[in-house]
Amino acid sequence: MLTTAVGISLAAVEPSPDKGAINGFIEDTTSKETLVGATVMVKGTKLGAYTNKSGYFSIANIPTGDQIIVISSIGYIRKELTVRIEAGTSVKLRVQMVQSKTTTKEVLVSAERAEDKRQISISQVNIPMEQLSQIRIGGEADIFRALQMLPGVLSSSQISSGLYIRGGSPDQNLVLLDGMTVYNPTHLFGFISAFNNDAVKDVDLIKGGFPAEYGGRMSAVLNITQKDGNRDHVEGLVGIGLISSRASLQGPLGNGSWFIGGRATYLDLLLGLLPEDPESPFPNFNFYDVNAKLTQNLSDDDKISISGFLTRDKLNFEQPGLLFNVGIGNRATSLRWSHIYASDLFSVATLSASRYDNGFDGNQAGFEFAIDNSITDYSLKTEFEWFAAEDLTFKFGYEGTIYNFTYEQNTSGRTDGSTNNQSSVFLLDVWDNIHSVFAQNTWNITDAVSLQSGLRANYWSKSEQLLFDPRLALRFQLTDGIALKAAWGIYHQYLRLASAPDFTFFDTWLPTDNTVPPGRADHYIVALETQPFEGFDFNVDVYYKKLHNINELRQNNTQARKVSDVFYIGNGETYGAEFFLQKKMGQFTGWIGYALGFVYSQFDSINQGVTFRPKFDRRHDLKITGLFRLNERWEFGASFMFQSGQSYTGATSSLGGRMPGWDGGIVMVNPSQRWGLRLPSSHQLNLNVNYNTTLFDLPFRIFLDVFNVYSRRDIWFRFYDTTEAIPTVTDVRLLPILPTISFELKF
Amino acid sequence: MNTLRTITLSILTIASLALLGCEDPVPTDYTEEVVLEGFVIVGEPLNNIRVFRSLPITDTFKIENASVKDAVFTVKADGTELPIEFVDDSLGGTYRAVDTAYRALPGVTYTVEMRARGKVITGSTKTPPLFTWVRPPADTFQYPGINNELVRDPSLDIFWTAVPGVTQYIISMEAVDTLGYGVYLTPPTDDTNRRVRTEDRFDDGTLISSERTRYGFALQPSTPVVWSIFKWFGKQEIQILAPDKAFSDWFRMVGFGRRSQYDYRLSSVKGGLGTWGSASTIKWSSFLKKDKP
Repeated sequence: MLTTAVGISLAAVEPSPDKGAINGFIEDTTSKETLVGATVMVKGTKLGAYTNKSGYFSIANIPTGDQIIVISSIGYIRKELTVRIEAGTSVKLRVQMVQSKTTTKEVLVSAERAEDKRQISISQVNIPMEQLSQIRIGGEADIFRALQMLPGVLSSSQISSGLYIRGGSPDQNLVLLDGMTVYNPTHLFGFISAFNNDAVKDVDLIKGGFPAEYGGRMSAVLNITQKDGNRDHVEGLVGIGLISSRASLQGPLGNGSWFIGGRATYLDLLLGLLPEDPESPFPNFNFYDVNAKLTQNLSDDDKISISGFLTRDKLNFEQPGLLFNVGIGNRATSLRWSHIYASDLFSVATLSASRYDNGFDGNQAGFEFAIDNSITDYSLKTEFEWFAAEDLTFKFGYEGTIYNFTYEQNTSGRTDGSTNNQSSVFLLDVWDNIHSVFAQNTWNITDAVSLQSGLRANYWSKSEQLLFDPRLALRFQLTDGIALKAAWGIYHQYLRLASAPDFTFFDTWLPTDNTVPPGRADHYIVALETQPFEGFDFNVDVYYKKLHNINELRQNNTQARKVSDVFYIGNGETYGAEFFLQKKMGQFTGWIGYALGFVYSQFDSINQGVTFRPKFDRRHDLKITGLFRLNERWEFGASFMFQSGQSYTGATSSLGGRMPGWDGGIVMVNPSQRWGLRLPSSHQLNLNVNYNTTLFDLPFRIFLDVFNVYSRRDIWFRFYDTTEAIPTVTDVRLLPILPTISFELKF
Repeated sequence: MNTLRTITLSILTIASLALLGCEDPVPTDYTEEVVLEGFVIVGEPLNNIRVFRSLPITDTFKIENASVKDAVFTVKADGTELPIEFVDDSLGGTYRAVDTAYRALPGVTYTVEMRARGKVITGSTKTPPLFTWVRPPADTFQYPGINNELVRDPSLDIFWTAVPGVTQYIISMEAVDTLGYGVYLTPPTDDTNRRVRTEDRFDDGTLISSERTRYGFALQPSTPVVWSIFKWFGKQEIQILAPDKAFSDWFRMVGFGRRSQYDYRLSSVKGGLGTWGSASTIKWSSFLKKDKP
């Protein structure tokens, strides 16, 4: 029945003298790709573990004798194998799992993910890539769009992929790709994410209460793992969509694998086919991204991987009297070494460099200008995972980052270097570094109670501050199907992002200098995890988050010399509840999520000091997704969201304003409470059909997507048009119905 | 489990219903505000003062309908009071110093207290010091044509002395004769003046901006000539203003970027809306020649 190979070897380790242990890796049988989050259980006992991001697991204190080891992972056929456990030794396994696409019987379609009572992971969402890929916009599968379909994860608009998680802004999310920090993970100025689904193996989102191993952000963690590549044979994929085309290739190399994938848009080519008015031409726009990874097993205990990530967006616009160019991009690379010191001690060291830059230059009627900025980090992170005992696991490590922030602004009118006026040519080149150490343990106090405690200490060189982030999480298993969880933690943030809410156009990352205090969030979370029906998970999370020293951009300030010139600093709080019913297995999969959220901010310099709710605050948030796999050829998907409208600012009267010498003047409206009113609700239905067939005997898929099925054009923003004789409330609306067809060929 | 099922379905049902009815209609309630708009320009009479009230957003804003003509002023220059009077005109009128021979001085603190319609609005500004041209504008500019505007001629750059404390200079370009053009040429012609380009218009065809002055800004005491700043061909008065923060902020609000919403952070008065700012200035007369007759 099970045709995959199981590699078993012995290793000298030091489990309890009268008991044994197992450790090893879980892999896909075809590609030999390691599986993240697979469950390994010792049948008939309460012993078990999850595989970590490297696909590694370790279970100690197993009774001697023949033991049945049960391995399961979403999308794979559950597997049982008998392993002889001997006292004082550890058995090393390398288990290969078969994907479950060939059967429609629910019991075999997906392996059941047995609940490991040691898993504390509060507010953590792991959506199988198969489901993530079914949520598309314009035919483009998009991780961020999929995550926006989770309760408590909001967007600023339908055309923004920024993640507003539990009232936190996108810059408060730590976005990691194979351990590299990604600073601007979007294309098309925020319309779609920069992550190519084809290159991604695993996506983990922690919406709050994340453990001490993560730091530097106040809100959430998005941890993305790239595919290692197929270790068995060369395979490729080509996809053609409305916005972009993509291709990827992977295969074995030595004792490992390689992967390379990329996307490129051809919007500029499509626009070139349209008739163009020379007085009002179309802008030229294109983007591309490349993901690459090389993995080698140096020995049974050593694995290295080199990852690379490159994105670039370019915009050029030229019309009589005006010319400008915009360039935005990320470049990141990492070298990761996984090493097994002993069956109970696993380590990962990651050396990475990541750079995000954007530039804008132009000429308006003879006035030349240029703005460039970048953030570059060079990081080293070492992390040790020690499976000290069956009921005790430690994780500890060090993380150090050297930052370089640059900002160049030339508003002198001359960008050819002929100016010598320093007041209009602003150059910033700041180097800074941060050092963090962390330690956390997971302790199963009893069969029903687990505790995770951690501490992270951060030293920021520039501001000479040493700050501590304590973290605490608790799990209490009430009954077999119900667990109560709680978490508390303090989260400091050092970096600040100067950005407009709707576009990631001139995003500028800045350090915390001595003119502003570091940002800080206090998380309080209580969660209930249940399995109300067979095959369904139902979770309820209630959270409260106190935000200290958050920032809003000072858009009125054109000359900034220090961080306090760039931002207003204030405080906020956010609280709410999330309900999440999910079916991960079977012919029909999907989820229903509802979130009730409240977000408030208070800045002395904004709204005359009165507390207000940010624009992205939405009171109610309902998300429904479903994927029905009819047979091997046909798959049907749907996603629906219904949200309270975003906030807008009303007006109480109109007034004029003029400069001396003007005969007339301009008309403005006097605003009422900032963001004090709410737009009509947003709702949208998207449908998709996938047809699996062959082309030249190669697997071929046709995707038909209908975005915004009933063409409900959501309001992007509302403003008063004061160029009309009477100020007119004007709504700028978003996309109507958009049917697309796209193709994918595997070889 | 049945209980949980019931709870789950109940929550989802209630949540679905709660999603409806969250929208706020566009408000039309009117709250009157009093606006003081006053500029003290060094070397010029004290006459750039307006007081008006805001109007309902359901009405067209016309300054002559909004003007407040009975405000009571107390204006002081370094503590010495300057009596103020109201002078009516077709645009709602302005307030000015009774002593029409008075010229604003540099480095002097001008304070205002204005009482009108139950409001007391106060403000204070210290006039910036004097400054001079280093290289004034050319007497004549030849407009290169809209398709050649990107070509910069360094010989047309202008320079002036830096003013301590000023971080942003305002450049104004005023067309001083929107009718005559050829009369200033040698030899004179009967060619009439015209706009450089079509301006935005209201739906009824009237110009949104009928004014003759265009403003720009420079963060340093020099700038290239920016062709798009010219509204009209012909005779121009080019003026550099070295503003205080209040004047500069008001410029950000109304002079640059054309905001549709009043921003309290750019106001410099207390007790109401508006500004009370100052600037020192230098001027030069130039002539912009058409690219074609």
